[in-house]
Amino acid sequence: MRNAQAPLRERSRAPAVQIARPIRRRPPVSAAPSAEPAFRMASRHEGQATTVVMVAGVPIGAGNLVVIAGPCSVESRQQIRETAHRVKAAGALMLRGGAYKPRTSPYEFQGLGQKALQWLAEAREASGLPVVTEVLSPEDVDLVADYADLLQVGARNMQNYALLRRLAASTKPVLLKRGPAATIREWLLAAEYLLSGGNPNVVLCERGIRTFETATRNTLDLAGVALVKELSHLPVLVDPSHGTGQRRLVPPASRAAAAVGADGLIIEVHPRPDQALSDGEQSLDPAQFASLMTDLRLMVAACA
Amino acid sequence: MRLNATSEARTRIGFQGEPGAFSEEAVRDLLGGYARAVPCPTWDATFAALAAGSVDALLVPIENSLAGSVLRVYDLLLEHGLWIAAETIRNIEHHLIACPGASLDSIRSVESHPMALAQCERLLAAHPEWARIPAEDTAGSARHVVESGDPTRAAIAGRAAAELYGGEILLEDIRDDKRNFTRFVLLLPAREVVPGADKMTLAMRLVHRPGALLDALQPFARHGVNLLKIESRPIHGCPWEYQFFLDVGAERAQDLEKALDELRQGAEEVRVLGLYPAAPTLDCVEAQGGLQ
Repeated sequence: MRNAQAPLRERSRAPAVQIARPIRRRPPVSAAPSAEPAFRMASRHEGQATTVVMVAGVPIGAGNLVVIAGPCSVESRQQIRETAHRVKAAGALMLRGGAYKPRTSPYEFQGLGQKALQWLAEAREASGLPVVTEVLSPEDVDLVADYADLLQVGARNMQNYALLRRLAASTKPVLLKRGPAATIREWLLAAEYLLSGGNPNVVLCERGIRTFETATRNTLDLAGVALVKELSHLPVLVDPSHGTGQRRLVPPASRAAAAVGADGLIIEVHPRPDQALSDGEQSLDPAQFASLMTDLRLMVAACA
Repeated sequence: MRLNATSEARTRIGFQGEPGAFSEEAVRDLLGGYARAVPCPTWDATFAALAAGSVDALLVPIENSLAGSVLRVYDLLLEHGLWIAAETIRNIEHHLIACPGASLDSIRSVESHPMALAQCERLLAAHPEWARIPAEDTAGSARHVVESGDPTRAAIAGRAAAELYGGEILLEDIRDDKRNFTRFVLLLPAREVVPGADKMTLAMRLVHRPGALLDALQPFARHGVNLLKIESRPIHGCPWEYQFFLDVGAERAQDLEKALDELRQGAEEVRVLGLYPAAPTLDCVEAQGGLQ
C-alpha cells in the first residue's frame, strides 16, 4: 500500500507500509484453461509478467496497489480541487472525476463537459495527481485526451466498438471498465480491440455485473478478477463503489479486492456526499476514505 | 576550431559526467561523428580541461524546461570568458535501470541525480518502500548499479547509459512530465560565429538605481528585438547586487546593433557571450501534441 503522504520520512520506521507482493506477484498459472486464440494480445503467456502501464509517471501493474479516488462527477472548481487535496493527503495516487456522465435517465445530471475537464486539469496542476475521466463518444476523444492522463471507457460503453477503435489510435492509456452484463470473454475481447488497434496501454477495471441480486447495486465479481489476472497480462483495477452501490460496503469490498490481487482501486470520494449530484449514496467522505486507506495499509502489510 | 571540420583528428568536446550521460548524447546530436566526447568528473574539472587545452570545446547544459537554469554554468561561463557558438535542445527521457536478473520485486533502492529523482516523483510516490539515494550524475548511477550486480539497486538514467553498461530497463519512460527538455550550449575559448546565427547571449551590469533594469531593456523594445530569456545572478564580492544574462533574437543584425549601442550608453558593462543559431523547438511542439 502506498503512503504518498510521507513516503520518505516514514520508510525507516514503517517498512511494513508496503505492497501485498506475495498476493499479487505470485507467478501466473500457466496455460490458462479458457485461453483462446482470439485473445492474441491480451492473454498472458507462461511466465509473462504483468504489463506495467505508466500513467503520467504513475505505474499501474508494477506490484504496487494504485488507489484512484475522486467524485463521481466534477461539480465545481472548488469541489474537485478540495477533493484532490484531501484524497492525495490520504495516499491516493490519481484523481478521478466525471465530465461526461452516462446516466440511466436522460432527465438526470449529465455532467458539465469541457468546463469540468478544465477544472479537472486545474486540480491536477494544483495537486500533482494525474487524472482519469470518462470519454463517451468517439468524437470527444481528442478533446478529453487534451485534459486527461487516463481515458476511461465506461461500463455501458465497453462494447462500443467505434469508441474502442478510436481509442486504439490514441497515444493515451485507456481504462476499460467491464460491462454490467459482459462475460469475461467479451471483456477481454473488448481489450483486444484496443491492443490490436495499436494502443498497448490498457488497464482493465471490474465494477460489478448484473445478477438476480438486487440488495447490492451490482455483484462485484472478485473471483473474475483473480481469473482475469491469470488469463491476461493486463493490470486489473477494482471499482468497489459501483460494485456495491453502498458506502458502508466500499471498505470491505476494497480490502477483498486488494487481497484477491487487484493492481489498484478506483473509489468515489465526495467532500459532502449528501450533496452530491450523482452517486452520493456510494461515495465516501474524505475522512472515511482516509480511514479506509489506513485499513488497506494494515491489511496489505499483514499479507506481505 | 571548425565546427564542420572533416579532418581525421576529431574535435575533443568536454562534458561533465560519465560516459552515457545526457550531455554525451547531446554532443552526438550537435556534432555527430566530428566530435569525440571527453568525460570530466566535475564542473570545475570540465572548465579546467578547456583552459588546459586537453579539450577543444565544452558542451554543457544551461537550462531545463522543468527545473530552470543551471546556475553554476552561468557563473563559470563568465568567469572563464568563454564564447557560446551553438546550442541544441534534447528531450530528456528517464528509465528505471537495474542489473540483469533484477525485477521490480527485487528493487529496494533507487539512485540518481537529485534532478532525475525529482522528475520521477510519481513513480517514487507509488513505491514508498524504495529508498531514494541521490548520486553525482545519472549515467554514473547506472554504472554503479550494474557493476554492483545487486538486484535490490536500481538507477534512473537515459537509454544510452543502460546500453553502455549492460543494464536492464525495468520500466521505460518514467518521467512525470514528457515535456522535459534540456538546452545545451557549445562553449569555445574564443569568438567564432557560424552562418545562420540568429540568437545572442549577453551579460550586463547596471548601476544600482531605480529604473536601471527598465532603462536597460527599453532599447530592445524600441528596435523590435525579441527578449527570449533573462537570468539574474549575484555578483561575487558585492552582496545583494546582481548581473543579468539576456538571450535575445538576432535575426535583424542592424536593429540588434542599434539596441546594443543604446544599452552600452546606460549600462556599467555589457559583454556579448555568444552569437549562434537558435535550436529548433519543433520537437517541443511535437512532444506536446503526443504527450504520451
